[in-house]
Amino acid sequence: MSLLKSSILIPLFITGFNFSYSQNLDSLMKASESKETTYTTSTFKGTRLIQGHSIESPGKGIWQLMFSHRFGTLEDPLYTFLGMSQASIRFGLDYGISDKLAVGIGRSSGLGGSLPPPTYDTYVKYRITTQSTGVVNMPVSITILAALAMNTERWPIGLIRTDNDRFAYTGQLLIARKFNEKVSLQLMPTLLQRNLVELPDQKQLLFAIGIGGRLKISKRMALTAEYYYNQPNTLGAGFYNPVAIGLDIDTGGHVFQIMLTNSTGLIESQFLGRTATEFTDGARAIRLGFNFSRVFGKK
Amino acid sequence: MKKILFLFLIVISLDVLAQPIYQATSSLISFHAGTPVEDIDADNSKALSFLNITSGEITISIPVKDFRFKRPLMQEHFNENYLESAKYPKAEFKGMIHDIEKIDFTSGTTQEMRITGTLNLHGVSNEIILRVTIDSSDKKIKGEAKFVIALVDYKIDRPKILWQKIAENIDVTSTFTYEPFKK
Repeated sequence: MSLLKSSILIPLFITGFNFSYSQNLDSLMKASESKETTYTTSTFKGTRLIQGHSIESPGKGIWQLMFSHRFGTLEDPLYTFLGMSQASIRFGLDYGISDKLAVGIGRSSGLGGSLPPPTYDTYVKYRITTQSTGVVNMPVSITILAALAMNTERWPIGLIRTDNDRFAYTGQLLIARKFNEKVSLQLMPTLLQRNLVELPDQKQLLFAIGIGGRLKISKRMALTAEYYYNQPNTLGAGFYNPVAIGLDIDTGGHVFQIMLTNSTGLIESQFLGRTATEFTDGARAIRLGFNFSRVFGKK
Repeated sequence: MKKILFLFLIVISLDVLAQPIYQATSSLISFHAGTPVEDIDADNSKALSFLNITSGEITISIPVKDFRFKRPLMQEHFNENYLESAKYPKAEFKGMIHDIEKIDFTSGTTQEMRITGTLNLHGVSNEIILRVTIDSSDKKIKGEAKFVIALVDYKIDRPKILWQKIAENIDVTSTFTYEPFKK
């Protein structure tokens, strides 16, 4: 072998070895990466889709204060200032015990007419599965919700009621999939047991299936929609399925949700069973509302 | 001459067969992007890394989505507004350790080393130089590096409304512990 040949060969061998080294690390990395699982986050911006819960929870150690309003109908917008002469209000506090487990309390009331009675509510929600790809392939995130509402209305003396009549219980499965950065959908099979109903055609146990979703229209805004379909002939005459369309505005530290809905209720037992106007009636039925939430972290 | 040359090549190939490759068995990358107005801290323990102690090559892969923040909304902003992690799911670093032959990975003492490499973040690659403090003991190599990332270098936009809340330069601390790679 001539000196010339070997002087070519040596660098060739060395670069060849170097090449095999880096090939090696790269292929090791590829093999290692294929063992990972990527979990989906931020399926929805808020812990509420619009009226009802979303699969999301505040996160471990996070407190969330929430104010929600539903105003009067938009029937006479100038006189009532977009319905703001009336309002049902809920003030709530949510807390994330862990990233999966959250609890909350709230108090809602309305002034006048068909607006909800003063009610205390509490809930617990738990994330059963989280959507993921990779080694663990899970198509949906599922959260289970159990909620209790207690009506604290002062009933007129003489009315035959028991304390038990004050309670309503909700059980809900929230099943969501984030299809991409923009689109997420959620299904909500729901059972609601009301201990008290006023009319014979109202069923105490309601079964409803909700569907909702969001479409992000910018980094900070998303259009949302939510609809609950109740099993027919259970709500009673004069009560309708709740519909809501909304806009989520993320201002950095908090989420502002503004919506149009036919419901005055702010918790499941109210908007599912006691929505007294039909969305398709337009301004006579639809009202403006908002949810405002602010989170407080660990430090 | 020929024999020496071939012997030399065989030694190199034996070296290759020995595969002096180390794998990170634990990792922690954390950053601080806050200003006096708001604390923004996150950490990620899902980074993968391999190290070749003979050639000095090092490779790191960081799943961007796995940065955990104190608040879920911050995490969403980080992924969807700043790092665009759906589009750029991984941050990667590939580098070469300076003067690898001078570093004794079996000494059990604290040593300093430098790595020059390319960091690909948010789809943008930049050459960076890392100063790493290493502690080696009992077949384990622990390396720690502190460095600063300027958001503008990686085309990461800060929205005008929030500019006061997010620092221009991000302080990053990363710690990796390596052990010999087992298949």
